[in-house]
Amino acid sequence: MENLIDYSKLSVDQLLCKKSIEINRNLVKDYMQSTQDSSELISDLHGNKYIPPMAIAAFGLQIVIDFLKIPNGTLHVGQELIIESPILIGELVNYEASITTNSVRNNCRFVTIKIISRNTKRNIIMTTRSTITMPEITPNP
Amino acid sequence: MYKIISTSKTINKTDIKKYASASGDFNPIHLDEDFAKTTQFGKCIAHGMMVAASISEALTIQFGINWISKGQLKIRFKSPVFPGEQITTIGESKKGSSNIFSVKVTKNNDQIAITGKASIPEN
Repeated sequence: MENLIDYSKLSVDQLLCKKSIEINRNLVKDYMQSTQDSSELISDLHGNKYIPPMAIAAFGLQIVIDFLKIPNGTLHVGQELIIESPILIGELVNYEASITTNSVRNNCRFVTIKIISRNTKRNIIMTTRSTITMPEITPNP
Repeated sequence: MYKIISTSKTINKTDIKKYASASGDFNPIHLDEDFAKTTQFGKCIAHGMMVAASISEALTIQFGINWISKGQLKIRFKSPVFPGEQITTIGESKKGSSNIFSVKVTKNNDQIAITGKASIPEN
């Protein structure tokens, strides 16, 4: 994959991208199966099921990975989730990603990405911070 | 000391492929043996978020709505999980606290894959 992004130019607080995903029943089913998740989906008072929080975080992180064209071999070294409220399966999740740290240590670049997830009423449902590390690459001029 | 229900499972190649499709993460370090041979690990590894899902699973089983509505989790990925390895997720309350838990995912060789801290609001 051609790498066109100069990661050294990503600045702290820089807004990276925004994207919305409808996390539907099929997405949740595939996620639960692939993670062998044996927990019951939690329901609201009407029997509607909530999305597992780690799925919300995983789908959000993938948006950023795609956006940044992260090079092959990039590793995930840390993850933080702060949940504000649950969200039902089938609802739209609005993701907004920004950079919170960007540094180089031992020839590896460490980038922390903050993702704020909101529901359709624009209320925050979750804030995540994902730290990834990738080999430091000097882009061609 | 208050312990969280532990869960165990074996991570296999089929699940890693399924997780790649479900999450959209097709990084070859998880899927391509030839590419993985060129990395520091020498073979394919499971997605970190796939392994981390087992912590959320255990917290959901134990705390239900309290976890999914106001929980907090901070984890570090310490070592990779390879296809065929069994992982066990455990947690216990921190000394003097009933709602802060240390959590970890260990492998069948006793190596730690993930460590971290979870905070669950009390009712």
